[in-house]
Amino acid sequence: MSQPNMYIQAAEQLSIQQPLSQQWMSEPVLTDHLLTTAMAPNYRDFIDPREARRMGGLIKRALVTTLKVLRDTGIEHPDAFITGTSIGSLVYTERLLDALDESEEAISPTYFMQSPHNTVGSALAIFTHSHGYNTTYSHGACSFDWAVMDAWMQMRLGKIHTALVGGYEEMTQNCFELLQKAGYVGQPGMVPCAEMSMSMMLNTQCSDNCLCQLSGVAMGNLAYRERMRQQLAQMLEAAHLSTTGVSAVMTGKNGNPDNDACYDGIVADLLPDAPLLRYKHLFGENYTASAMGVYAAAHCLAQGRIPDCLHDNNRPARCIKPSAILLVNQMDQQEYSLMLLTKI
Amino acid sequence: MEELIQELKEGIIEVLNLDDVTPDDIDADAPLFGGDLGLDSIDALELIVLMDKKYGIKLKDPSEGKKVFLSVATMAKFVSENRTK
Repeated sequence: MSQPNMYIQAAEQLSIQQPLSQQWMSEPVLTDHLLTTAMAPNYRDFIDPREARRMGGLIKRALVTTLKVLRDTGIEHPDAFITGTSIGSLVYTERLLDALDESEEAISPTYFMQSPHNTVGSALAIFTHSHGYNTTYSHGACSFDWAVMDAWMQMRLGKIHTALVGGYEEMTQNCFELLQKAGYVGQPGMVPCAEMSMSMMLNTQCSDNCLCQLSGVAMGNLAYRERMRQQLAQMLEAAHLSTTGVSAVMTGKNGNPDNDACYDGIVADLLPDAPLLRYKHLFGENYTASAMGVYAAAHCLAQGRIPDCLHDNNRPARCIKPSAILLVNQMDQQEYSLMLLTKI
Repeated sequence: MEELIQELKEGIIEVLNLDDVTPDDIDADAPLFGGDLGLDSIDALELIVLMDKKYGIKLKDPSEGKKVFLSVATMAKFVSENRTK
């Protein structure tokens, strides 16, 4: 039985960059702040303030990117909402914990209700009256990647045809300081720690407005490097590509020497001659930042160009007209994901 | 009492995140629930938390809550008679 193709029909972002815009490709917003909040859109264009009054920032941002994608694609009720968020509504979680610390008897129900990680995906479905499959992945730096993998597998099985897949993360000063102490963010030379929301529509049907094809997804553990090579070979074969057919490799380099050296090792092993791209200096670092890599690569393929701001200057090779971009995501040199996006 | 009514209106706007509502928009004698504000049962729970935190009043009987939260004026009367802080 032939497997269905999968396409990214639309992808929208709220982040450090101009909201709901691809302006970052020509006029990127650059910041040297260690912690940066997402640039807010005009929420009233999407949500009635009374409906939004109980929503925390994370849910509001997720809702805006989702509603924009639903509007752009004309799909009111996707077959699935699949969410990746590592720490969920962190602001409300902190407020709940602070309230518990004060008194266990007077807890705001709003903070309590919105603290679970899966509240984001649920809120999207409730707001859009979508009653299909709804799942949230909270798997550290591969949360978004597992959400994509879920959609990928269900589409291959023919269980769903459309899926709203998103990566959503917010940050607080308290959490930032803890992560800084752990060396995860806020170190000298590192990209800013940032909030983001990215929603995209995956569809098994290709249409004129699709950005690109999602040609492969694979996950694994870096301890099994041979398995990674096999996965890439299978992915390229299924996409009828050779290693030279990969226009560029997009990595999650973030300025942390250990992290970046790990990516260099992977790329040297898999595709030593391919041009290198990076995106976290533009969109920031957080547990679900890999969603922004997919977003950036999809728009590059749709526009048939790679802006200079994405090129990793450590490698001289440049990609002018991309036809296939391999995304590599990893953290702590453990779990990884590979995604192959190709031009339609 | 007027001062307490104003304080309650401001507290309600704050805890219920009624960003586009001002204290002047709330009629002290109008029904809090089922009226223009569009409040629901979760809001009732938020108001119970407000009464506890700000005035030290613990509302445990649901039927009592219905009478207390009839309007801002009934809330103010109940607070003035039962507050512990």
